[in-house]
Amino acid sequence: MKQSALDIDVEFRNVVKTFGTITAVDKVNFQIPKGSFYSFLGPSGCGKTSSLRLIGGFEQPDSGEILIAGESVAYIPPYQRHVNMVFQHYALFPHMDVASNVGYGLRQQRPRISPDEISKQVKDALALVRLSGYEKRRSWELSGGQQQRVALARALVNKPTVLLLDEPLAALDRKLRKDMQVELKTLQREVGITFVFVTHDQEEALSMSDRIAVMRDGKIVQEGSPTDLYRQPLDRYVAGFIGQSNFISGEVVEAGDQVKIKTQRAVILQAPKSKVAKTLAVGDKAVVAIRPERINLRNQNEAGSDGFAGKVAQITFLGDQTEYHVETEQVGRLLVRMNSGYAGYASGDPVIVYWNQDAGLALLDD
Amino acid sequence: MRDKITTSLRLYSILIYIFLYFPIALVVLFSFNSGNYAADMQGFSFRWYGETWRDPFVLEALRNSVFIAATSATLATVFGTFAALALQNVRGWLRTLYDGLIYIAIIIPGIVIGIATLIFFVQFFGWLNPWLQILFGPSAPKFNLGLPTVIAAHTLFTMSIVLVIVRSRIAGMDRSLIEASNDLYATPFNTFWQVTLPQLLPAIMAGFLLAFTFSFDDFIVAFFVAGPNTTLPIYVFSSIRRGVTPKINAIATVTLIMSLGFLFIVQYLLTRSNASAKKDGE
Repeated sequence: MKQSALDIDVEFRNVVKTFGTITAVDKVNFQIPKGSFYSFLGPSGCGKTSSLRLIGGFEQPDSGEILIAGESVAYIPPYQRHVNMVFQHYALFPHMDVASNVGYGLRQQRPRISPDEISKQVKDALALVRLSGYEKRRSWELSGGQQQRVALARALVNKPTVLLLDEPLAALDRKLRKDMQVELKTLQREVGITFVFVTHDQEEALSMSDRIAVMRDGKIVQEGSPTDLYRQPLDRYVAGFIGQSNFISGEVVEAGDQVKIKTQRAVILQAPKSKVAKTLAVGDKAVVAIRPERINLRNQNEAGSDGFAGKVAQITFLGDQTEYHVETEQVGRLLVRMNSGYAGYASGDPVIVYWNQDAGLALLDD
Repeated sequence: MRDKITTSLRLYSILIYIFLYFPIALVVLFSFNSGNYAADMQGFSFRWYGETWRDPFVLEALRNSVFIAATSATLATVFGTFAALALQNVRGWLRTLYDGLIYIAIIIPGIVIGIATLIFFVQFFGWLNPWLQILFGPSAPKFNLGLPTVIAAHTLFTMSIVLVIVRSRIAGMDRSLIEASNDLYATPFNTFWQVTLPQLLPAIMAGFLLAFTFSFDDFIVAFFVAGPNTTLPIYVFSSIRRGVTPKINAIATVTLIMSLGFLFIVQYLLTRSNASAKKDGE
C-alpha cells in the first residue's frame, strides 16, 4: 500500500538509536497515516518508548531519517516540533493550577496570543475532556483520571500535528482504564489529530488502534490492523502477544499453502500458512497456533469428526465464557474457551478435543 | 532488666540535654536580670534589652553583621545555585573532584579558612596596591581588610552549603516536568524561568537563610579578616574581656532567637520541598 507523502504524518526511514551497547531502535521503517490511531505494542525494552521519544525530539537518532508531515526534523529541538506528548505520569506542573497548565503551550507562542483568547481556548479544551469548571484546581487535588485528562487537554489545546501518548493509561485502575480507552478513541475521532500510542497491553492496542506495530528487540516484527494481526499473525511471537493461542510445536513435513507438521508425538497436523508469513520449508521448526475459542469439546462417547482424546484438568469460569484446560496424550495441554451455555464438563471428565482444519495456523517457531 | 536499661538510658539522655542546654537557658534567663551583674539575678526586667538598643557600638556592629550576612548570603545563593545547575551535567572523575572540594569547603575548620583568607588578602593587596599607585598615582584607591573581605570569606564557605542543598533538590526533581515544558514550545531559557526555578525556589530560599545564619553567627573567620571593623560576634567577644554584663546576655538571646527562627523556616521549606518532590515522582 503506497500513499502520497501528504497523507503521512510521521515516517521513519532506517532509524537507528543506541544507548551505550544497547540498540533500542534498530533500522526501523514505518509510515503513520494522517488522522489515524497508531500503536506501538511490545514488552518493556522493545524500543517502543524510544521510538516515541525520537518523534518528540527528546532523543536524536544515530542514523536514519525522521519525517513529520513530510519534513525532516533532524536537529529540530522538541520546542520547535509541532508535536505534543502526554507523559506516562502526566508531568503536570505542580506549581500551577489547571488553567495555567493547559494554557502553558499557548503562552509560549510568538507573536503572543491575547490572554482573553488563551482563556477561551483553555476553556474549550477543558470542555473537550469534560473538566469544565476545574480551572482553578491544583493538580494534586485531582484524581488520576482527572490528571490524565488535564494532560490531554494541555497537549490538545495546541492542535498538534501528532499527539504522542506514552502508556498514559498504565497508572489507572482497571475500570477507569476501560472507560478511558473508549474516551480516547472517541476524542481522537472528534479532533481528527494523529495519535501515536505506546503500550505493552495488547487489549488496549486492539481496542483503540487503527494500526498496530508489534515491536521486539528494537525492530518492528509486524504491522497491520488489529484484525490482520489477530487473524494472520506473522510468527509465533506475534500470535502469542496478540490474544491467547495454543501452540503445538513440531517440524514441517509438507510445505505449501496448506502445511503439514509432524509433532514430537509423531502426530501429523494440517493447517493453512499465515498469509503474511514467509514460506515454510520442509524441515523447519514450526508451530500450529489455534485460538482457544476455535477449539471444541465433546464427550468421548459422542460421534463426530476426528479429534484427540483427553481429560479436563482445570476449569476457569469467566461468566459468559468458560475456559477448560484439557490434558491430551497426543498434543499436550490445550486451552479451550466455550460459551458457558454449552459448558457441561466437570474436572476429570474424559473428552475429545477437535477443530476445523482452517482454525489453526502454521507459523515459524522461534 | 530491659526496663531498667531503658530507664537508665532515658536518664542519661536527659542529663546530656541538661548539660547541653542549661548554659544557654541561663544566658536567656539572665538577659532579663534587672541587676548590674550577669550571674546575680535581682529581678525580672527588659532593662538590658533597652540599654543594648541604645548602645551606638552595638548598633554599629549589628548593622555591619546584617550587611555582611545579607550580601554574602545573596552572593552565595547566586553562585551556589548556578554551580549546582552546572554540576548536574558533570560526570565521572571531574564530578568526584568537585564533590570532594565542596565537602572540604564545608568541613574545613573556620580557623583554617580565617588564616588562609587573611594570608591571601594581605599578600594579594600587598602586591596589588603598589601597582595601583604606579598606574594611577597617589590618589589611587588602596585595598585593605574591611567589610568586603569578610563578605568574600563568608561567601566562600556558605556557597558550598547552598550548593549542596540546591543540588539535592535538583536530584529529587521530576525530569519529565522539564521535558513537558520543552514539549510545550518553551525555549530552554523560558523552561528555566517558568519550571526549573519555581521548582527549586524552596531549596534556594532555604540555602539563603542558612547562609545568612552561618555568616551572622560567624566569629572566627570575621575576626581574622574584618580589619578595624566590628561585627556583632566580634563585639561580644571583645566586651567579654571587660566582664560579662547582662547586656551580652541580651545580645546573645536576640541572636539565638534569630538563628533558631531562620533554622525553623529552613526546616519547613526543605520538608515541604521534599514532600512535593515525592509527590511529583509518583
